[in-house]
Amino acid sequence: MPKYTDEQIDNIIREIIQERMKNADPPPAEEAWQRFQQRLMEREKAKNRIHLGPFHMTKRALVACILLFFAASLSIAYPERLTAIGNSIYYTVRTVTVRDDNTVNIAIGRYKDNPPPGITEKMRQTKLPPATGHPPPPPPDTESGFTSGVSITSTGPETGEAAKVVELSTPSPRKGLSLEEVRAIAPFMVRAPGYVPARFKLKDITYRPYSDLAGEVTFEYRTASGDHILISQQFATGDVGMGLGFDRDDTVVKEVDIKGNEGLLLEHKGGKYCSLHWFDNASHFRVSGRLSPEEILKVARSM
Amino acid sequence: MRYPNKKVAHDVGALEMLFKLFHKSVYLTAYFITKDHNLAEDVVQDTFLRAYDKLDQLQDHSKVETWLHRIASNLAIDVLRRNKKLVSTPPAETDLKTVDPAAQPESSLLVKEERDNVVSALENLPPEYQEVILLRYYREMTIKEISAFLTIPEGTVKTRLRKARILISQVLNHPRQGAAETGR
Repeated sequence: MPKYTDEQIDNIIREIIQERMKNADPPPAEEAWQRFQQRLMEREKAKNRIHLGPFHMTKRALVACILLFFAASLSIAYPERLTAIGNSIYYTVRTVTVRDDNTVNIAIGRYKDNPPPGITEKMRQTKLPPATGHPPPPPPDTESGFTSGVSITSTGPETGEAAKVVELSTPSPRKGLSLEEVRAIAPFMVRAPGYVPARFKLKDITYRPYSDLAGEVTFEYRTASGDHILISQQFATGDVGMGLGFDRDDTVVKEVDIKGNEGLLLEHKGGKYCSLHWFDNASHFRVSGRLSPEEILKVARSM
Repeated sequence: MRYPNKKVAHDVGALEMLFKLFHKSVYLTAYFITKDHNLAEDVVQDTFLRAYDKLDQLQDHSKVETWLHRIASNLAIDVLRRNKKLVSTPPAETDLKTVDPAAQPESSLLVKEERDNVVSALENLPPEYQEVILLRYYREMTIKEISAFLTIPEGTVKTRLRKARILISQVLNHPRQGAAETGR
């Protein structure tokens, strides 16, 4: 009789592969970019070399040829398309924390350079109310465990003009989707959890389009007794920031590693209720629910 | 770094954003298939060079990440084919030492020897199988999505996954037989 079930074998493969990837240790992006840039330049130079074969050209003619070659190169370049993609994404993650006696407000976001000036002051002014009592059972479409709504803003594609901060709208979501359906309509690679504790069953998958290039996918899981998990992936253009507020007495904040990305784990009420936020490439991920810290980390690392 | 003109420089500036955003995930895809840091880095560089050249072939800009992974995956397999051998780098000692049994409930069922055998079996699978395994168990894609992503029939995806499972099952249930399979 086999020692392991198919499900156990699947899990063994998954865990070994995820561990292998965790140890992959890619080189710093900046170093890799420098090498790539050098190679790109060398290649472009090589492209510009003209092999004359049996023919001979004067130096002036050669220079003229080179100029013509540059002109031709320009005519076939596609800077607009690449720029359009480049402008729709962002890559630097920053965390800003503001604390007072009772509350902690955290802004996490991904910005091209630095968080917008004045964000700290704005956070102080719009101080989020502290939690009172035990977190209530979460309604299905809210961020539970936090005493405020999560405010998400985006500056939109970089245009070279002054950044305009807009709050992402909440258009009508499409509910009741299957994983394949949501992956077909979302303009980004949707990541689904490979592990969720067995007591939770998938109840719904929702997609909120923010624009043609931005949106949010939410997976909702529930237990028979009504406990739930919400797992969301947001993909938005331009600088993206999010504000979270919670009571210092009831919440422990820890920095964790999610497949090489810095994550923020918030344990509420002694770890009975947790939420986790992290950025990975162009997406912001959020997992929350009545999960232990170990469980929520395992869910997150399975995505 | 000086570029011939402002237009090209601006183009490269946008490429830099693309590179820094997706460099890590493209590297992971390349590393998973090649199992070699140097080869993986080469694949990353080639991937972005090709992306730079072939951008006009990208039909849907919102799928740029998927597109980059597809390029990287193909290039990584090509590299292995060119070398005409699988580059099999033994897992670093730290890979095995850093296992946290509490965080690894399934694999913690394995004794070290069994675990080594599974790691070895997975690493010695042909690159086409590695690619499917990466998409299924790391990217958590469905059979249908893997089929569309790799442009291969769903039956082929299922066959590759099934063979990988059977192989691991053999390694775990009959270590000697499984080891012989992976050594072929």
